[in-house]
Amino acid sequence: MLASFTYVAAAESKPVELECFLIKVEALEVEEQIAAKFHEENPNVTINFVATPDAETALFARIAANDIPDIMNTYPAETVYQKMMDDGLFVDLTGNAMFDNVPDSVLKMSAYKGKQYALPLAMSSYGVFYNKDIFAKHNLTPSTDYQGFLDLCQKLKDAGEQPLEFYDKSAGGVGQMAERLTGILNNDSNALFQRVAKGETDLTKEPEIRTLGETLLKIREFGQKDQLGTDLDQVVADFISGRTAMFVGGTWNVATILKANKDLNFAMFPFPNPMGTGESLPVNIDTSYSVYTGAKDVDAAVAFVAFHARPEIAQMYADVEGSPNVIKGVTYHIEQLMPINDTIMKGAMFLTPVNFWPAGMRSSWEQYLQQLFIDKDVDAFVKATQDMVLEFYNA
Amino acid sequence: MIRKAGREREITYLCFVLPTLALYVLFFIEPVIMGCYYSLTNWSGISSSPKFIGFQNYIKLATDKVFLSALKFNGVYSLLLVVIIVVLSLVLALCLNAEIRGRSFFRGAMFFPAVLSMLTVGMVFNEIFTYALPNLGALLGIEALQTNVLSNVNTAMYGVLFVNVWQGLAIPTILLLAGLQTIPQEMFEAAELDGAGKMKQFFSITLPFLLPVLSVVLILTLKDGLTVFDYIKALTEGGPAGRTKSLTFNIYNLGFKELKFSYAIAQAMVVTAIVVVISYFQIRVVDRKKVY
Repeated sequence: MLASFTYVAAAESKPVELECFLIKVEALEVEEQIAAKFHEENPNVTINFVATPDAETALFARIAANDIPDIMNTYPAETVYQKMMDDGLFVDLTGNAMFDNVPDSVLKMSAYKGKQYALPLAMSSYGVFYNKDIFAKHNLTPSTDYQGFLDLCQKLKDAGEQPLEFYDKSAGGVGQMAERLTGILNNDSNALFQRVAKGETDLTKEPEIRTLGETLLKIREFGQKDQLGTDLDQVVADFISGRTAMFVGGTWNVATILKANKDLNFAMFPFPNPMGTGESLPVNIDTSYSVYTGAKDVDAAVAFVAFHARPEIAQMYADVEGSPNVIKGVTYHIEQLMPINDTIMKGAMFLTPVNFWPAGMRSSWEQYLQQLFIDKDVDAFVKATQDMVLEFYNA
Repeated sequence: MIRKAGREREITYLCFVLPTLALYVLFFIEPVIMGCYYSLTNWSGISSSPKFIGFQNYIKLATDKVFLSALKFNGVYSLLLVVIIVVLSLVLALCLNAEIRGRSFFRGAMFFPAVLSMLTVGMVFNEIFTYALPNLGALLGIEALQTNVLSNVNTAMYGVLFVNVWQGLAIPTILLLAGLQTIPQEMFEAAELDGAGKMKQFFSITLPFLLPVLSVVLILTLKDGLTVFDYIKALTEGGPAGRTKSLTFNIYNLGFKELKFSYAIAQAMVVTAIVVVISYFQIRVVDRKKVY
């Protein structure tokens, strides 16, 4: 079924080859299928994909060298990409009919200064993956409150199971976990940090970062040995093999888990808020597309982006990539993420804080987090975070 | 007539040099000049109109704890790397220069690590440190082996150093082996007739003749130590808790993760200056002692 809106027609006069840079490299195969369908309708337009490891770094390097792809994955809510929008890198797509197929709540998240520079396609979320068979074996159910979660971990430990595993060797994973949990503790951590930067308060006087440090240490008591020596691949492998009952991670891990064992009986629940208030489901715009203002054929590039907003095309993407899809008319069928998808659709979520923090702050935080896991000194961690916030917010 | 021929020869020489000179200017001099300029701006890597801020990036370096910590790491790391590589490669070169059975095989085998990319070697050893050794430790019941070397703040740097030495030995050994083969054998025969022992021969003949090669090895190894990146990226990502964050890894993070390109370039300029200054003094010292 075609959507009721019309698409920008691609130029038909002469053949054009456009380059599409994927940060979501796992979507390459399905994107090539989508591009083939687009080519059937627009024979003069050929889309060539670039999908490299460490793709976002490669994209930044190309932007710095002024070698910018025609179409690219972006994260429109993140400050880094918003700087690019300010610098006129992306075509203003506001008013294009493709947005008729995106819910307003999502468009609100992807908008910048009231304009749309990207088509959001899928969302990601973050929570606790759990093995349903192990839970059933011990008559356990996921907990929605923090103390209940700790009790659950203790029961699993007492039953001889490995309750949780952590991947603290992956510095990026450590930063991401702390950033997502900061958002759970305070849905508007950016406002808190702005007050800190202005000297109106101090993180040592506010409960969030201390609670974060204590929570990160507490849950690690239920983790495996040598957490700083373990990476995400190992943890996911252990989860698939049943060596750990749970791990904390993002919805993007689902594709890997299902690829390794499509019969694994698992699901995901939101990480309970240790302070007990606010929404506890952090989300981010996981897949979106923007068009470079200097693209070889802007109309054709916009048409290809708009093509993704057709329900049947978005369905193709969702069926393979697996993240909760936001295009109206898409039937989401990843059973393991249904509760998360339903929560997103209800709007009971918050946009994860990295979108508001200054660029690079989370990356800079990683070494202080690893230090916390080594010396378990929460006071030093709060002080280091305070200094970091002052540096980045006053830069 | 002679003057005309000389000028024609100069023009011919110039024609030979020009393409190389043009490439050198394009790919080396121009980026250095551009780098100098960008280090004096607030360029984020995205903005097309960076603002000139003078020496602010360089002034900031003096109080940047992460930079100073990375500088210290590189200092210690480079010192250890230079000492280990020079000593081991010299020992290996002497062994491979001796009349031993299977010498050709050993010469070929020891060069093998040099043909692999540093990132590949780093990733292979990451698997060994992360999975193979802990599993072997568990199997054999050896507690010390069950922890990843790279997860311990006291051992992580040595894990990286081990991998660097494993791969970095090959080229210096080959260079020193080639140097050993240029020493005239008559010198050793004359020394033996004069009653000089093996140690005396080594310090009075071998070492002075090897000094030019040793100088190259020292500079190359020092440069490797001061610019170590691939192993850090593949093995530790600067962790645990920043203990293996090298200058180049910090520059990479500043540029590509934090989008502080101009500040990253300022750090790169400082690293370049350090390598140039140390190399200059090293060459001068070695030049005074070498045998022609």
